[in-house]
Amino acid sequence: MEFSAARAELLKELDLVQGVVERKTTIPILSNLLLEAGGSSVRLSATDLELGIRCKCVATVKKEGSGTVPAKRLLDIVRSLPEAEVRFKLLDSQWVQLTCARSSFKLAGMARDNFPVLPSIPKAQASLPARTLETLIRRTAFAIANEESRYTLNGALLVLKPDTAMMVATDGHRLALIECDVRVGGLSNELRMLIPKKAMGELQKILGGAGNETIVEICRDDNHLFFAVDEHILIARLLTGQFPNYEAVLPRDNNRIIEVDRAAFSAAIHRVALLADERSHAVRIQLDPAQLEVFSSSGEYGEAHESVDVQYGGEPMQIGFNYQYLLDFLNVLSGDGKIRMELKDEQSAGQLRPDGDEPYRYRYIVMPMRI
Amino acid sequence: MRRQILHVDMDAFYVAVEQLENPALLGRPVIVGADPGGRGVVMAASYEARRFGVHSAQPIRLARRLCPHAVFLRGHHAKYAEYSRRLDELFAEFTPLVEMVSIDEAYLDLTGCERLHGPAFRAADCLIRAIKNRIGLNASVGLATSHLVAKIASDQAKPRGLLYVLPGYEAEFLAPLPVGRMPGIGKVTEPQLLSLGLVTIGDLARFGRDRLRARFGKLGEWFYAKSLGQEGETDPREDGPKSISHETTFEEDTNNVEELQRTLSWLSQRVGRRLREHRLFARTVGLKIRFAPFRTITRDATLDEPTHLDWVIFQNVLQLFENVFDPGLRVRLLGVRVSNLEAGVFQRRLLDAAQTDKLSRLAQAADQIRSRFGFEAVQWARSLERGGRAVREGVTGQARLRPGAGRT
Repeated sequence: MEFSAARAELLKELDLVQGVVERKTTIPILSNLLLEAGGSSVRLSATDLELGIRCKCVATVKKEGSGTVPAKRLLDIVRSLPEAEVRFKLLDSQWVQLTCARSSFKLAGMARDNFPVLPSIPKAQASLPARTLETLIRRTAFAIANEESRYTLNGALLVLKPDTAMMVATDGHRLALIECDVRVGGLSNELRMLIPKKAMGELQKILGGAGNETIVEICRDDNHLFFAVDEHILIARLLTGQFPNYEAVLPRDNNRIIEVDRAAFSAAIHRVALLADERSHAVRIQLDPAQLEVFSSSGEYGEAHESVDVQYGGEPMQIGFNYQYLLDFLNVLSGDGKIRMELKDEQSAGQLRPDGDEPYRYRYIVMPMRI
Repeated sequence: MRRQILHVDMDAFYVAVEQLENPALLGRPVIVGADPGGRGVVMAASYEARRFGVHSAQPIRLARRLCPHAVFLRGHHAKYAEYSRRLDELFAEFTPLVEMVSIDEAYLDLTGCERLHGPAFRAADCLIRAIKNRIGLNASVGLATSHLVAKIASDQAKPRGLLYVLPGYEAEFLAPLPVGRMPGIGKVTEPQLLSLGLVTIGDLARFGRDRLRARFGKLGEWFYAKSLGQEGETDPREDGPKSISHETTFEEDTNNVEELQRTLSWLSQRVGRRLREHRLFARTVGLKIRFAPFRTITRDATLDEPTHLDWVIFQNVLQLFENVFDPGLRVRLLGVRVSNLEAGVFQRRLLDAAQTDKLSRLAQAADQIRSRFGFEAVQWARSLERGGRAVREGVTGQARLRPGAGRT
């Protein structure tokens, strides 16, 4: 194997694959990247056995072939290099030589045959704009539980229909659900899949780098999910289990409607949260006609409150929330828009949604705290 | 206005109820408790039996050795609860401020009732007679300006007595009593006081507020106030219980899964009730299991959302039980314990909120029924045919100012 590639191109791809590389070193080969040079490109692959990624980088191939190199070291080296051609050459005993301008490195690789075989991608079953999927992920991924529990999965549910895409995630305390009217290609009926949290993160990175018109192709086999974006392929082990019955918790009769400016609300919570209890993260929201007030108090440091103008004509009430849960939602939205907060009483789930968000229908359901 | 607190304590309550329903037992040593051949404890003993050294909470086998000719009876809780309810009704005729602290013990606040009953002393006398005439039981009564002094006074008055500590004489009344008699001074603090030469409550008062504070901090001030019979401040140590537990020792070791599960259901309900009484929620649920002869295992589960619900406690305990239970071994004791108690703020769960709210309403309704008709009045079906009986229960980490389980 012998090839050269532009440093900038290479770095872009190395950044993308890095997240998939196994950080623990229990299986040494998994902290390596597989490099495969052929035609006019080099293919980079990484896997932690849960997730696999394949990228392509334009290259001048002098001699076809493949080898593995330590992923983290390679990234650090390429990052530090000047903007120039980077040459790779496989030497004896799995050594890989890397030269660029006046620098030279010799990396200890491992036998290529030890690298796990990534499954090959079947025919695409559905396709939709990369932008759309990126928004779906960005607005739900934060609500995924970090650990799997009796009630939740650490993944989100994606449901594709010929003209809608829907994604929902929950950690048992809050739930983010987003739907979008979009033409989903190649689909005659419904396609449902559970996407693991880590895959969502990596996918979001790939989608974020894609152009406006880029299409993502999706398919699944019995064990894996495949996402293809341009020359990038992400392969995820299918999450098994039952997604919670989220429809049962969607509020139906929350008739206390509050309209509030998103940026002002977010800033107020941000400030007041500085003196919230560090363990519980609780803030208290007091609602009065035309005004909303956020209160916090920490036994150790003091207390704070701030008022925000709102449109609200109902009865006064107060309700407690984990401020982080509110900020998570407010932060994935941007711009000057308003949000609607729909409440029932101090112990029932509240619903938040942005105003003027077409073609998306986005709702965030968050359970209050007992205060 | 000067407070008038009455402490009513029934004399040998369980035994007295049995004697009332079966006069042949009168004048004989009677012991109510577990199977005398088994390993339970004495719940109550008549004064005739006490002469032989029998007392409540004593292992029943020991009681049988001390007093082999006694009449041994198994307890009839439903019956005692019924008498307790009648007592409660009678107390309510005297004052609306009745605090039943256990099945056979209550505080009545008679402050300001002079126009109704005349002087408090006469009201107390009336009450004792009413209990005797209308229910047929003997009670001992202490009357004083504080709960603490009234409680000690009723104890001094036993049996069938009335002791009135005149206002202004509280300190004098308490002075000769040993420090250990003061509720809140127990096996930890008593030796510390004794080592300072403080033997009686009067010694405490003379030792002085400043020196007590220097020695024991806030607690010292509290000792001082109590030694003078003053009330008002709460025990500084009393920041609520740290854990709540209930245990059952089986009459016979068993590996009958259904019986064990029934018992766990029952224990979970006891613990849940106590949690709700303290207005607390538990984040940790624990199981204690002792296999015969004495190998004890404890296991804890941490909950996502703190709970005070019997059902949630039971489900978790059941899971722990299934993990450790070995059908080849017999179980001697089971216990359920909750800890990591929280009073206030926590995040509620979304996905099962509807069910949690339903269970909360159920628990609330059950508690209301139980506060009128006793714990056994309503329970989960699973625990109805329970064989064993809870013999030991405890709230740890709490200094008990007014112990619920008084002497009978």
